[in-house]
Amino acid sequence: MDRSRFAQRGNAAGWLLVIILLAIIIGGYFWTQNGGSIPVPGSGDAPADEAPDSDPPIDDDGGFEGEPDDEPVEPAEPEVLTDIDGKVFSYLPVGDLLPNSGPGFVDETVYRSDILFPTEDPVFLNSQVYRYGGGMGSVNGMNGSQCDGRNYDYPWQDTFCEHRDRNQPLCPGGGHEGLDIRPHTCNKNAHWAVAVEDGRVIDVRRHWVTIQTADGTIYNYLHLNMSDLSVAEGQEIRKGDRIGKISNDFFKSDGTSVPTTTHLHFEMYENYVAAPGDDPLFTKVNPYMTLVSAYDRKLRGE
Amino acid sequence: MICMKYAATALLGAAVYGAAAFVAFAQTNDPETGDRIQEELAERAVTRPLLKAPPLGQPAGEIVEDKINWTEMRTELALTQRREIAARQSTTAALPRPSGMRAAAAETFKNVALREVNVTRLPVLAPEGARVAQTLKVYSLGDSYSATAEVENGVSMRMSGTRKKIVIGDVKSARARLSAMRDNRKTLGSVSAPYFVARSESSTDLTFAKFGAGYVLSIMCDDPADARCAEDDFITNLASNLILMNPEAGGE
Ligand SMILES: [Zn+2]
Repeated sequence: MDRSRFAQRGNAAGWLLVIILLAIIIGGYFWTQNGGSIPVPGSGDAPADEAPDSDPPIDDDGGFEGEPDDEPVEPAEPEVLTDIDGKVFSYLPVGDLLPNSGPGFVDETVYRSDILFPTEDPVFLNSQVYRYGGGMGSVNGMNGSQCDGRNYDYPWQDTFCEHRDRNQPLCPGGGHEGLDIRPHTCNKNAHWAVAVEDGRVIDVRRHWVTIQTADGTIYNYLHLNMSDLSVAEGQEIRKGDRIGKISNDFFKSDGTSVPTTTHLHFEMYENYVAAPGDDPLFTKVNPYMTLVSAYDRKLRGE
Repeated sequence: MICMKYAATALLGAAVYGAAAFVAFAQTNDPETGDRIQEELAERAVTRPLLKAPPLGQPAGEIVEDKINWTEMRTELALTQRREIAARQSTTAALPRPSGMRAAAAETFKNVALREVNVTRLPVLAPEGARVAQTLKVYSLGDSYSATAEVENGVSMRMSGTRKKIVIGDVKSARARLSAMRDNRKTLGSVSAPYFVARSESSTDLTFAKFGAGYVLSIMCDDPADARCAEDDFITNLASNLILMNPEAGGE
């Protein structure tokens, strides 16, 4: 009886040893795979921006006794500009478009250094056509929906002279003479577009609202919710006044609406000269650096 | 035993489903390209320091205002009149009406508010045309204005002018653009001014400078593939016959 009990106990001890050894081997494997940190469930395939590596490791029960617990690290005061969502603002240089999406047009000019940014909420300037959810997203392996989280992040990217069918001289091969501005969420009719300067509403038509200033500058706001605008044609407006909510309105000739992606297409015309005394050119210009500058000031609370 | 069978079937099902999901995932995400591009963009991106941030871009220079050449405006009106008289007196049958700039009092347009024209400190121009005349509206900001109208079925227009100019200075890209555009410019018959046509997603624009002001005529086609917007003829013809709504203005 005693012998058999001993043998049973010996058996049990043997199994326990095997289990402990296995636990050590498996634990060690995960330890090396995670670069020394304890695996956190669900963190394996999360996008980089959703799994900040400054998070203190979570202490599992019974793990790694003897190791001193990490002091909870206070996130260091960011030394770069962030938006109200806490995301670090970054942008790509002017004229630096997505691959296969057109020639772009390098113009570093900040045409207006005192305008207000045309939206109230944070935004992402990026392509509506060549990214996730766009008609040409597949050319860059960006298949998905317009609400794909990867569309809703920095860096900003220029879309002026992004390729379109129609030919014109500024963008060889045809192009997009405006910038596409994506609000920080995929919700339509939720984010306000505002007047960048004092001026007047000179045109409200189909899916655009046009504003002109006393200097002559013209701003076009496209794809707002046209059935619920806050302004009317002919109205004088002040810098910061709400114009309408960013939507996806896009009307065809027969008056039917074909939704585009939820974004603000923003255009700017300037009457400019290289030197005083020259004949001016009154054309659409690339507002990219003007908007980068306005956003920078907005984030600084200026 | 039955339990084991179920478990095996469930496991097999899960494995097949998992494999299918993985194939679908691999196809729609294409990590080889889309994700790589995303990473490259993030690497090239520039952030902005909170303190001592360097200036952004190339600031534009001052805004200048040239004198409006009202004498030149009246000379252009007289030239058109002279061309018209010559055409009428011509013995050659069926001479086309000469292009040009003609005076048309603001009061003759039912949707134009006289005040808008009177406060505008530059020649208020718009294209001529029956449908335009019926639907024309003018909004003034003093040193700039815009006129809007329907042109024909499926085409609307906006003509804007300003006497303020922004000096963008010696920016290489802008210089290249200015000279490329200048080389392209032809002369507009109505006001004997060089012009060029630019075309984009939202409009076709004809730009010219005259009387010390800059003008842009934009046409918007309901169908952007419409030949009236896709080719230069329609907009060039439209700008070849202009109306001047404030022929008595000037004297500054
Ligand atoms: Zn656009």
